[in-house]
Amino acid sequence: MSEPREIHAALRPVDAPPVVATMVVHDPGPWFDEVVGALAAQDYPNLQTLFFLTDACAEEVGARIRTALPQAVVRSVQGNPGFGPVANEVMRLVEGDAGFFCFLHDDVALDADAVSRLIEETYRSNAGVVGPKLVDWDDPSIVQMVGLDADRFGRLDNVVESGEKDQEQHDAVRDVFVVPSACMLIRADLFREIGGFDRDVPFYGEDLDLCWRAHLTGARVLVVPSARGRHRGAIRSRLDALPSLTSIERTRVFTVLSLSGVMRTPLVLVQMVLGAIVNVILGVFGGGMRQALASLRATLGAVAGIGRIARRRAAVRVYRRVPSREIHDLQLRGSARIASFVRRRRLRLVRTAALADDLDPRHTRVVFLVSLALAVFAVVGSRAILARGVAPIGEFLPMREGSEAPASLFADYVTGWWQAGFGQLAALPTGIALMAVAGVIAFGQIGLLHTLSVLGLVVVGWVGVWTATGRVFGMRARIVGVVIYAALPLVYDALARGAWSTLIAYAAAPWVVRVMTLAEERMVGARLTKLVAATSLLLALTVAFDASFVVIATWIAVAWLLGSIIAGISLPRSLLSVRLVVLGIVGAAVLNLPWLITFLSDDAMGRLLPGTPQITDPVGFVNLARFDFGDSTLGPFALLLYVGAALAVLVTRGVRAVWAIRAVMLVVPALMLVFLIDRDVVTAFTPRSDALLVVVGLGLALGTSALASQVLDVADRAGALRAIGVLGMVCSLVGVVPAAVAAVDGRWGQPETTIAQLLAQIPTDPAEGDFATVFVGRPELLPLDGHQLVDAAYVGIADDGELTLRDRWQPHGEVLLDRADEALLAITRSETVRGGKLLAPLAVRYVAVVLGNPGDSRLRPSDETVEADPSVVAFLEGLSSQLDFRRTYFSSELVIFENTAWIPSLAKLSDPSAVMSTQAGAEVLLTGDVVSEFPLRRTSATSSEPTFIEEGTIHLAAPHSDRLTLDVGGVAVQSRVAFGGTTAFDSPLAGIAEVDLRTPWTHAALVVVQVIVWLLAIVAVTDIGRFRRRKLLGAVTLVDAGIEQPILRLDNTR
Amino acid sequence: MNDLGTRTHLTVRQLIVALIAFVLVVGMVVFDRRPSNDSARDDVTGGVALIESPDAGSASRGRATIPMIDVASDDNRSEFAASTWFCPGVPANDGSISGSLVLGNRGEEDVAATITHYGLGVEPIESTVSVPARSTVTVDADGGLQAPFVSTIVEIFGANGSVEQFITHPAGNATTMCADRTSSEWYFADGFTAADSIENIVLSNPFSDASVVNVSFVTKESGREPQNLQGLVVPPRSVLTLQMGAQGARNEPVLAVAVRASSGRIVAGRSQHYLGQGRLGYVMNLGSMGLATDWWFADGEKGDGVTEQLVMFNPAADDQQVSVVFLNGNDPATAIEPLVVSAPAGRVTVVDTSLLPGLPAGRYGINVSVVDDLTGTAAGIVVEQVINRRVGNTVGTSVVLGTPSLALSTVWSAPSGFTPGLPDSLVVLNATPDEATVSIEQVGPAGAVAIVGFESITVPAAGIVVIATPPGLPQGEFIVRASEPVVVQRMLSRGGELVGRTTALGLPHRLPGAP
Repeated sequence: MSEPREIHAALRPVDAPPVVATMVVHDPGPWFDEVVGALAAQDYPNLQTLFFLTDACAEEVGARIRTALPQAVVRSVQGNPGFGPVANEVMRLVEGDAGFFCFLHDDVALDADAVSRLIEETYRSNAGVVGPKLVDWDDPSIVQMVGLDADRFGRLDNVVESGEKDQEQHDAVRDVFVVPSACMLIRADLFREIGGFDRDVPFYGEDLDLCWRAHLTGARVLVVPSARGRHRGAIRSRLDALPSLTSIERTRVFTVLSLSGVMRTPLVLVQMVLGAIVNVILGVFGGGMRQALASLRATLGAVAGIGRIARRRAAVRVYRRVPSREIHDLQLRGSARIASFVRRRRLRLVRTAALADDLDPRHTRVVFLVSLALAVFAVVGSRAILARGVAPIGEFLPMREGSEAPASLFADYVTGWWQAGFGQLAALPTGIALMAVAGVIAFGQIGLLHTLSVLGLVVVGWVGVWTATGRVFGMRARIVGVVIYAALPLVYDALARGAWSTLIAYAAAPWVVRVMTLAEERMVGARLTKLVAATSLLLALTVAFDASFVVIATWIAVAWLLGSIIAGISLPRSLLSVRLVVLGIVGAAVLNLPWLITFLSDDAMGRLLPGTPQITDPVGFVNLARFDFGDSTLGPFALLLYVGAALAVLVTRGVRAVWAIRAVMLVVPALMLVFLIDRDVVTAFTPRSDALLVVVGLGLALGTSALASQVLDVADRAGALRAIGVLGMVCSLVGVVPAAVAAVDGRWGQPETTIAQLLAQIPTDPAEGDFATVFVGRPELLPLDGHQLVDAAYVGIADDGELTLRDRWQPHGEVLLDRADEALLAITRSETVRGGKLLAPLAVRYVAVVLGNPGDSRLRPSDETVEADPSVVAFLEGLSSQLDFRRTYFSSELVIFENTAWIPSLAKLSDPSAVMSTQAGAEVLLTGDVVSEFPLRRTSATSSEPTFIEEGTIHLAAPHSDRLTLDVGGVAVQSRVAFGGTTAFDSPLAGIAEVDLRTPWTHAALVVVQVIVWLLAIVAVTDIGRFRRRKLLGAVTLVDAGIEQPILRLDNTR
Repeated sequence: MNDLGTRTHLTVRQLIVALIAFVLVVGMVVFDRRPSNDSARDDVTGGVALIESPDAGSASRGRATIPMIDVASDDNRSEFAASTWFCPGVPANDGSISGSLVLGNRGEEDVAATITHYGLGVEPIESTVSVPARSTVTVDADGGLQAPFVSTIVEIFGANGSVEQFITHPAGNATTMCADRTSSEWYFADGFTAADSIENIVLSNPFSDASVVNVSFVTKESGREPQNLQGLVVPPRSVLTLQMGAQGARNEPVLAVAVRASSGRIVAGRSQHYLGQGRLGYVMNLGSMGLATDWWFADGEKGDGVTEQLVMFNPAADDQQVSVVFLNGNDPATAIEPLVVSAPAGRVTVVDTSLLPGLPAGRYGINVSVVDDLTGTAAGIVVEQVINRRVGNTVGTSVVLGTPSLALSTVWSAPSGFTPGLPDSLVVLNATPDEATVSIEQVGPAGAVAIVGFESITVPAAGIVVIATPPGLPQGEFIVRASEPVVVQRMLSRGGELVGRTTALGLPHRLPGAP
């Protein structure tokens, strides 16, 4: 080693070839001073430095550079186009070819003689590209890289194993295929000849591409281990948008196909396709599935980029001087992956870190097998549902080709007439538009969409837990959390009784944790905007279908905050997650804004905090804690799910302890509130118990995951604590027994007979005219999102015909609904025996009192059969006392009454009734009979079939609106208020009549604005700037003045 | 505060969190073992239990078994609120008999009333009348329908209306309460077909649905459930009449009837024409809408020419011990030993008070109660009082249903008023151990005004007061207001030259807070 030093000492500055060290700096940390200091300390006598600062760098970075290197040239770059494109600017800013460019990442600190040794070896070996030995930043005794080998498929092979000690075993100068761009010295003329880095590659793969092209010119590529640099290598934590695995693979494939020889390219392509397929198969059993799939996608996708490949090959042909055979000889024989695998097997290094856990194929295999088991569990448990569809129970209203067709939903959304309840001119729920969009995405496969909307939510919840723990725990610990979350009997109970709201909470809650963990990373700028947008979209999507989830999200955020504070996280950092959720809620409100205006009614709190009506003796703490309300024989096993999370508080250390405490804060307060609700200690304005239990379950999953991480991810594998941890994990995993049993019947306990089947006897579109049906019952039994009538008795109103998913949303605070409520209350209180007359102008023909779901046995002790709430029974009593209601069906689950005084929702009134309709008040209705002469058939909520009428009054059982018109023989008849709230048209002439609605322009404008807001949110989430950046690749914009002329020279004249 | 994320050992903070979580969970488990403090919920759910039928067994629970004027919700009634009355029916195919309805409006505003007449085989007729404020209106009870019996539904909008049915009969006029609701069970303790007396059970179904009823009766010898009276269909909006003599109960001096609907609800009344064997005259009564364990009678009487019977019907499955207490104040000198009798299951027990040697002559109140009701599980009975007042060679028979405890009230009224000038126009029983004062008001153009001299009448504790009203008082609705819960009975003229008086209950008011 002494000889080179002597040579170096003999060089004078004027003799030394000039070197321009070029560094692209992006949002560096405190360690950057060491990097710059190392450059300043270089003993090479003819070294110039050029720094490019991206947008993310503060001014003070430039100042720090100039402090250490006063002669350094510093230039700023708009945005962050990527390393390669920016580094290429050196060709523009440096004049001359008689020297070298030394490209550096901003996290590489070279030894003081590194550049000198690189130059020496370049001359000695006549190399074109050279690179140093890279060692670990914190522990320089650990080798990172001594160049890289590559196979014919462009896969790199690092001959150095992870954590390998530097014992000079790699210190020989040798030819390599690739020198990493972290530090690469290249002849300036060569760099210019081959056109620098590929401008289309911002990160990852640019070094392979450059070195391969250098090889094509006949230049040698060497690693010079005597030159050393410490490499920090944590770029992922500083980049806004890292290229995806697929993108990296795409770059590799592009490089291979554009640089391989003409004759070899087809063969290589076929080999790559076959290799990718084999890798996918191997990935199933051996891990690395993601990479294999990305590789396959990239390889197959190369077909689309064939034009670009052809252009690139034409450009390369100019300097291709070495036969492809020789290039091939430089590459690894066989597969770099296999070579790496064989080497690893030989070395059998012990891995300790969680990230290392992720890379271990044994662990990925375990995770894959568990995932496979979960998938099998889901498919087996849902086999009957997958075969026959979701049973229409509870909130699982069916989706039909007609009513839920995207076109129909879009049309209604734009029209602005919300035909729920008695209809009203108002913004429709955002969920209807989202259903339409989903229908389009599903190519109109409504049935499939319906099944996915139920079963898919379960899977979304599992993925959510997996993702939420992604940055903290190892893969095996994460999959444990997923298993615990999947084992909650609550979700299968929800499937059994049609509790869609519970499933929505189950799916969304883990994602709330996910965004909160991201918020703690102190994101700023575009990343923060993206995160806020993502949170807003998450909550907006959820709120569109279940507004009360806002409360659950807030509950999770507050519990998380408390857990963080207790764990000693600083308050400002702890508040970041709450701030994000608050911003998300505001964003969600904006995204749902037109519809949410309808929430501004008296019962807004009741809708957001619907509570859980208690109808029987308390379910009991243990039954609640079991998540099955005491309904399952093996239910007590579910209590074991708590063991892991409980032990996690004591067993975990470090960041895992923080998560364990947060998990406890998710579990205990929510469980307490559920218990207090059950005991009727807390009664008014509470979240739904089942949604709170989702929070409890989420806490259990996260807590057990923390425990598993302590046991599986931490190197210290001895001691009593580990034994306790293992015991906790095992106990928790035994808790999956109830869930496993629930899968046996293949339909999660969904009943064979449903209320919807019983309701089928209510006629659809009968000849005697359209009508409305009132549903009364406990809210969790109602097929609609009803509003409270009294105590636990809720009311939902629907048009005639089958109830479908669009009927889920019910308006609140509408005048006719209030009128109906008053009549129904009078019935409940036995204040009237003429409820039928009172409901007649509203076209209420049937009142269905739902006493229970067939097969329903939830939310009450298991030893009781169908039991109705007292308030529902009181209503039933009142209804039974009505003189104008006739009972048409009775069972223990459902009682249907027909109103003998009803009139069709669109009908011509008799003359006396027409006179009556001009008056308002109960006495008018009670002292006379409203009589229709004949019905008019409706084609939609606000339109009718053309029908001939004599002069007279047409009555529409809908809230009065000036926008509703009746066209009679081409003459528009204006509407008037009838019966104090409905709509009537007094036609002075006979003719063909047709009802129509004129949509207000304000509504159309609101819809447009809403669409724009949603698009903006989606753009913010998907980071559209990524595409812009891609478009601008190769067109780096320097912001400094005077950049058009070269500012550095590569010669020895100075 | 240090971040746990940097610690490698168990911290005090973790221990505290674990300890608090443990304590909270244990606390919940312990608290869970305590019985629920929500007794109201338990009570209510205990009442509804399993829903087998929306009608069955619901008629009498928690409500009085006689009609009451519901003023409890006056303050928060909706605009739809109406008081609906179901009158049991009047004969409408006999020119010698006529019926009328008396509609009273105690309120300060005129109200509209819809009257629906219906009978068997005829189309219901609906009409509307206006009842001026502070007045009564009398309308024809049959509405011109031709049917054996015509029943009526009267809907009065607002909360201040009440209705009574009045029958003018050659054998004696009858004032009858109208029901404030329909019921699925009706009981008649007394019945009489001896000496070819005519007893009709009048079953009215005011609903749009048919009702199915099971009728059983008990004679002196046995109880019977004739097959033809089981599953009897009462068509919608119609009135079915059962002449008990033709149903196998001919010449029975004791005849209790139970009507239970297996589907739907009905209104049941009893039309009784007495033709001999100690009873003469005509009465029309509304049945009892259920059983009760306490029954009160304001006007008991023992004396020359007066025979009084307490007819107790126990339709339940178990025998019950019944205590009969005669009330004439708390004066120990006049105290009378209670009488305890057994009421066998499914049988009728008759107590003839004129045969009780220890019972002094005079007027008294009566309380009949089931003795072993301390557990609250007794099914209860139905009690009616029969009084025959003999004048010369003729007799006037009057039958009145007792007042259950749930109907005790501090306010009573009756739209048809009382017969002024009688020495015993009103009899008031104080059902409490405290002395009470009552006032008697008449509703007139100036509203409810106390009758001069009747502003404050003292009623002894557990005693009665017999009130003689002066002749010449205008006919109209009266109101009795008391400081304690009382029972009010009226003595009414039987009409024409007929001897004796007929007895009728006033209508108790269901006050706020009452069940």
